Amino acid sequence: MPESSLHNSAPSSDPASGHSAVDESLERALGWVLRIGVILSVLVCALGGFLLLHQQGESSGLALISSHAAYLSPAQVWQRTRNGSGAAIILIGLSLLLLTPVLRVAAMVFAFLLERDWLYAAISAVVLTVLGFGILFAR
Amino acid sequence: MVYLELGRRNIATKISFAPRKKSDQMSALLFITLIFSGAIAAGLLGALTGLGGGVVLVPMLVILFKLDLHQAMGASLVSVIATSSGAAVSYLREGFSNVRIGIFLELATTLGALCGAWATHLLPVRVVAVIFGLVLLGSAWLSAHQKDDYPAIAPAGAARSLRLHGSYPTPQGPAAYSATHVGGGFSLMYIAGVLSGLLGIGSGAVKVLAMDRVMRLPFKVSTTTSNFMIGVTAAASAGIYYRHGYMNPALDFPVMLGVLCGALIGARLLVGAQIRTLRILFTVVIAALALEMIYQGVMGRL
Repeated sequence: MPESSLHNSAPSSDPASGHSAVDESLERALGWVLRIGVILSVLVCALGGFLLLHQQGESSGLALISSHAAYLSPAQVWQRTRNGSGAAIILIGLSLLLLTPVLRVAAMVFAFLLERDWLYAAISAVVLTVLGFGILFAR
Repeated sequence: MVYLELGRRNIATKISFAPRKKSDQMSALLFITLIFSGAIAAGLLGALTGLGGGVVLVPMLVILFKLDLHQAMGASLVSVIATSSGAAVSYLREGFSNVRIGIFLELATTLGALCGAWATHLLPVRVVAVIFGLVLLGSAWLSAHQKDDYPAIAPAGAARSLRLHGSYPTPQGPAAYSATHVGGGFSLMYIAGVLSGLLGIGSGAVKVLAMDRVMRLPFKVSTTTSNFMIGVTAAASAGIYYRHGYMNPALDFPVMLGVLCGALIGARLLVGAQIRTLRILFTVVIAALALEMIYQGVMGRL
């Protein structure tokens, strides 16, 4: 068997495999989405952290952490980001990070639909719904 | 250690801007740098023991830095998502993780995570701390007692209708495998999700337990599939944590960056390194952290 076929590249007609050609090219694309998401988030958080430490002045470490313990509404986060608040920029970076697993599941819904695998399209759609509910509404 | 003295004030008594004694003051930059270094150590330890950064991070932030348990859990959850998304990239490419098994079991873990995250702010902090310590002890025990893979079987029953089987690369060529005991594995995955939401960890040890020992999947498939599930599970409870104010930007940024660095260094060290003795040492350290966590929880000091 050629070397490349070791790597979940069984053709989509092979019922014995958990993977397919569509999966493989999609996984590769998704790998990049995940990587770019994490890198972007790290960069934004690092920028926010730098600004936060600059804006902080001479307060103690514990006071710095305590003063950011309160909940901020998305509107507040956005408004403070536009004012250049380091803490708000970190929260934007964290939301980018949170988006990466969500995008991953969304892409799986799409991939299973392409494969006409209705059962798994439905399963991933339910997972996506649970994720969306948890992130947006659940308390 | 210096920060043991200086970091004494618990932020549960937060935003009291009453004047402090000089000894309670540590410059913000120094404190954040110490948290960043601690997070690197936690990420490294988590990668080398296979337990993940979160389970080491939370006791460290609570016991050494005297931070609020809920905020430590929020920071841990963030670092769990970061390491899972970062690590998933390389695992997927190697053809070990099984996408169908992963997404099917995520039905259980995401629902469990919602329940766990909802429960965590209702429970007293000391109860959460004791549960955390017990889970940490159990995870350390599990990771120290790994066993050989079960012989491969043909797919039957639910594993067949749900297509929970596949093949993975071995030096001898692709090896086929199939899941068994799907109901039991699914139920245990729900528990893994509850623990993830309750404690802000990835609960990788329980996920691997469900796949490796209950569903009898190959160890390599279990660990890699678990790793890609961890981020999705953690994302399910992140919204609840955020709305309860457990996500603290000033704490989360040094923690996330540090754990990610530590995990990357750990993954490099793991390749080909003989770390058996190191692993045992780390497991002892983790067990000590767990016992301290239980003790402080029982004594109501958190």
